[in-house]
Amino acid sequence: MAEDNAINQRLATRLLQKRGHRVTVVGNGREAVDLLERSTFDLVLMDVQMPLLDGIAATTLIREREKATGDHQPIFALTAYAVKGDQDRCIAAGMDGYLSKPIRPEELDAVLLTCGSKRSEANRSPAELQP
Amino acid sequence: MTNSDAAALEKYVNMPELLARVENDRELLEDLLMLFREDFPLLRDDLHAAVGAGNPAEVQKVAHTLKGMLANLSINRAAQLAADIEAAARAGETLGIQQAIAAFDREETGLLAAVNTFMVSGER
Repeated sequence: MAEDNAINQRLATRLLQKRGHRVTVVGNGREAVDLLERSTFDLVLMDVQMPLLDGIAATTLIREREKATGDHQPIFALTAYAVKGDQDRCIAAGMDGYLSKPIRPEELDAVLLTCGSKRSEANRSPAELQP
Repeated sequence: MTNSDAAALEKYVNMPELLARVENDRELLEDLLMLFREDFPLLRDDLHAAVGAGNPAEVQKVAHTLKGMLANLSINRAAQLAADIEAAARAGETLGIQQAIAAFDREETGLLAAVNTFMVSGER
């Protein structure tokens, strides 16, 4: 999770831990980009407004780097933005989806379910993917 | 904790909504309110400093952070007023910023005291 506010960090971390996930927290987009250079995660929750490098710029850098590797790190925006245009900016930057603040546990579950489903699909062999 | 302590806090906080958000985890609730006691006065001071410096970009940034923090704690009226400040700052409306700040200040007067009382009474 890339998020600079301590309350939001604590809330999201605890909800994720209660669902059995291990959580790594960074406080800005630069740290997120650096960490993702040497690690991958099942899911990144990326705040949009952060110091040093915002979530949009960080995601753009990550997606640019992935062009060379072919990898795809699932990234969901975690932001207080509530207007459609801002969601569009997140998607245009290459994010996979959007989780709005204030965090609602049921919306977090929906994001986790989406990521879990995609991951299971990606891990299946080509033979398994045959109809 | 007394009923009046909880009632004072519920003037500002939508407690059923907040308890649902933390999934009735009282320890998490106390952690969040503790962080709020530390962070809110600093952000409020930053907001006033940015207004005093005539820096709408900084006003917008701090108001945005406050909005997210307050909304996650279901302090909904203050969160909406922080959103109003953010919108006025984004539009560069100096008068709008001042009016929104005044409304925010009126709303948050007593908020911190209510949180403090709630926390202290919970420690007894």
